[in-house]
Amino acid sequence: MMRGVGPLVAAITALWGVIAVISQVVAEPPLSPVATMIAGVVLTNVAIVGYGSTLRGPRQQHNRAGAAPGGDPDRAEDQDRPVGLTDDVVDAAVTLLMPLLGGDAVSITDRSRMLAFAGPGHDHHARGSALYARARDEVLATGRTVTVSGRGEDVIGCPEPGCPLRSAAIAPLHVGSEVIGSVTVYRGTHEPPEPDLVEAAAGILSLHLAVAELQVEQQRNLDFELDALRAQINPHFLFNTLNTIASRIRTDPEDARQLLVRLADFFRYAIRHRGQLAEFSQEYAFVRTYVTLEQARFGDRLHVEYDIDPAVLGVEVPVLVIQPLVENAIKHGASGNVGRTTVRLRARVDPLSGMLQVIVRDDGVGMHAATHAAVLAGVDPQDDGGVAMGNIRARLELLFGDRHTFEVRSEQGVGTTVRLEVPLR
Amino acid sequence: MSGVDTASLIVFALVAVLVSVLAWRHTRSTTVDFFLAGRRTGMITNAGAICGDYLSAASFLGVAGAVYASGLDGVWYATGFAAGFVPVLLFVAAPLRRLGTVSLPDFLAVRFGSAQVRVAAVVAVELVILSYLVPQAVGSGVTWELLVGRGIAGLSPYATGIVVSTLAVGGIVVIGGMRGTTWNQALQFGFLLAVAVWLSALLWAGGFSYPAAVEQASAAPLRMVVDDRLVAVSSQLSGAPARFGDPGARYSAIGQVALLVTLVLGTAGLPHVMNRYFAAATGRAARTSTVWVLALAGGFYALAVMLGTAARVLVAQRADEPWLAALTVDGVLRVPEHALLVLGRLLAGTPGLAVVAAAAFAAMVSTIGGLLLAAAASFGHDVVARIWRPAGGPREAVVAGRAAVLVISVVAAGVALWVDPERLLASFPSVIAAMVTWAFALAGSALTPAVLLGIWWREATARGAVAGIWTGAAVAIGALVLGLVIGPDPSGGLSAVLLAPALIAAPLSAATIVVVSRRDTGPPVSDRLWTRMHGTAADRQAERMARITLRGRR
Repeated sequence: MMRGVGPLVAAITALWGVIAVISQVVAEPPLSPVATMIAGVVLTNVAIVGYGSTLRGPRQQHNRAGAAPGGDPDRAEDQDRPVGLTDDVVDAAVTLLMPLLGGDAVSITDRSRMLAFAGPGHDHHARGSALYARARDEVLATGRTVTVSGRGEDVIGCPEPGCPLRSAAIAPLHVGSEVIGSVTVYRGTHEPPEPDLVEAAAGILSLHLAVAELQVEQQRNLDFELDALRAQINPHFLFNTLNTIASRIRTDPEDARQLLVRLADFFRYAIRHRGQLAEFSQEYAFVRTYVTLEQARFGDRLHVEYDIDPAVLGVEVPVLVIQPLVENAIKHGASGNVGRTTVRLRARVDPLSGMLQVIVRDDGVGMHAATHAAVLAGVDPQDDGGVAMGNIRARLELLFGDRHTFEVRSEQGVGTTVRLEVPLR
Repeated sequence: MSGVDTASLIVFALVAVLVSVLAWRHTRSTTVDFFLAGRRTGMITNAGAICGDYLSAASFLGVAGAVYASGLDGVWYATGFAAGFVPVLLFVAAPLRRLGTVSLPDFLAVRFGSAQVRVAAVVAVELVILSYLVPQAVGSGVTWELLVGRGIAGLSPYATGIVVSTLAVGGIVVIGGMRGTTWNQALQFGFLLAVAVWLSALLWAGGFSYPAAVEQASAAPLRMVVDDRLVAVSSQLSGAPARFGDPGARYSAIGQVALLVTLVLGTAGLPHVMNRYFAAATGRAARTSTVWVLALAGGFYALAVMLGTAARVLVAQRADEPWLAALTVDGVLRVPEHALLVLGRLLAGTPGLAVVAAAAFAAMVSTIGGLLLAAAASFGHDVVARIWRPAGGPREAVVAGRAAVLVISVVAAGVALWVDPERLLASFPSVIAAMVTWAFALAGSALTPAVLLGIWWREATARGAVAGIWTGAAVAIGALVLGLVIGPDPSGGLSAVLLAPALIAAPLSAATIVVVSRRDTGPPVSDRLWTRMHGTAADRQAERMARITLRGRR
């Protein structure tokens, strides 16, 4: 952002110097301050505007040129790399293993390339170089640990004549039952390193890989849960809204058009948003869109009050959590109630605990004791709203662990209150 | 008290209640929409909340007291407090909001990607908060002294005020009742502004003219009370007797520069004010709010300066009234911080005093509350929950935060008890404003350079930031201690700079960051983070969503 501003600053400084000299020293009599100021301001503006537009052109080209060659190969290379074997991790691993395993050099490979190498010979066994030892193919194929001794084609197989390595023990890296790479310990003598030790180290590394895999799995679970919720955005809601719109098309076409546009907004947000978290302001806008659609259907029977401290607007919250809560409240309140119903959405930041608090309250029929118990237990009851509750509960659990609160309190005839607290990142 | 005053007081009270009720009912349900859409109502509310956090006893009593005591040199405080938002507007507001963190230490930690930066920033923040709390406590002591005039349980009135306000606010924060929501803070600022406007209106209605008052106050040499005697103040610029309307009554030329630089740089590092910026809807909204803050705070400080001047003239004129005679020596107030309170009583009798005192307490309570919450959050949330015991969970962070509140408010009260304003008066004619300057100096030296360079210089690294924060804090504290030890020196140059040390400490801190970052081989800031901080696409997206939301309102 500040790049390239230096010359402009220098130019403006020089410009004013020149103006000062011309107007006060050269001109006879010296110009009045007003005239000098006008001339200076006009010239400065010209310099800024002109400089800005010349600056914009080349900078964009620079960015495009920089992005193309740098970005793509990296990604291609990373695609077949096992989860958890990032450059940092393997570098740290070989440096740590070196003194433990009683060898002169240590390497980690995936199925086709060298990932990291520490010790003598690192100049020609660098990251990304080809794998030479034939014995490694056997390890990768069978999953057994193998030791080799001697230079030459059959054993270490390094084509570099000056390579100091003479023997090696090669152990497989597993994820589940699949062999995804190898750990090799080399020695400069013909006596190979202890294979059990190498195998044990490879086992520990495999465990790390399994944990990494598990984390990816967990992330995937989160995404699945969210997708599931997206897929089940209540079809009843869609039908009801479409019916409302259909009934308005004759009586109030403009209103109907507005509603259709908002319905499109609603689904665009619900389906397109990527990622597990969104700023509260976006979720709030989504809730508002939803409520407008519901209000078109219920009319004056539905009243929604918002009590939101603007301090919460920038806080990141899990997506599609607040809207289903409001949807449940409206369902419990408006559908069962003949009279007017009020839903309250309240949001506060508690700076002391560093938590965001969201409360959704309705004055509807409340839940039966059995349904309530089922919701509290996290079991999905028959009610549509309950499915969303289970889903929300699962996602909150995965995202925040025990760093959140999710309470449902309900009393028949009085209403239901849902209280949600999530940490501010 | 005349009938006109009573009538105006009643009108004032009615309008205040009406506005509060209307604002309360209206804002709760809809203003958040205005925030989102970047509408003016939202901007002004947010700006009011920022002002509510910012304007403290220092602003309300301190600025008027400083103007009362030092004339033109006191005006520098008003100028500096208001102008502090200019760097915030230009360089800090929008990127701070766009990065989307929740507090100043959090912002620095995320920008530099380092836990050490977090720790350093938290230490600096707690120091700033502590030094900011002390003058607030002094202010509550001074107000209690004048309003109630009696101590409880054998304490002096001054000590009672400190103990009561500390117990009240600390207790409320610890129990968890105070949330400092945007509405509360905005309403509280509205109350302050209304009181200032009301006092000014009373003045104008009585035929007051500011230029005439300045002339009248400058007619005789400026004098102050030291040990129950009037002492002529000599100008730091010329050595001749100082006058109200001329510079030099308090600061030499370099001293005036040092003070202004310290106040201007300090604002961007005040944790409780900057925390409020994270509440703006978008980066652009944060910037626009700051423009309103400048307008509102500028207006408020202009009125405060005028009220301080009016106090100088009116107190001298009516010093023979018995209640006032006790507070003055030959028409000059013993404690300049009493200026606004006395003016309230002069203009509208005892109820006037009560209204001004209520406004002063409101300013102090909201600022102390904001400060204590910031202290609790930065300790509990940033240190305990993230660094010491990440496994402890939020409950432990809350306990730690409450403990921090208790410790810090007790320490602040202790320091305030030890600092008796009448004792320090000889060296600091306006003690509240002077002490707030020290908090600004710490903030401006330790935090502002790291924030500014973190936002605008890509190569600034975590090591550089840590070194810069420690350097700034150490130099500022060292200079302040040295300045207090050597006391005011006759030439005025050295101690003035030492007591407003951001002029030295901030450049040193910035230079440290630059040098250490240059030598550091650590990774520069990632493109993604940089784009998030400076990019405007997210702003536009948020504004689009808000427009969609508002379109359907009928």
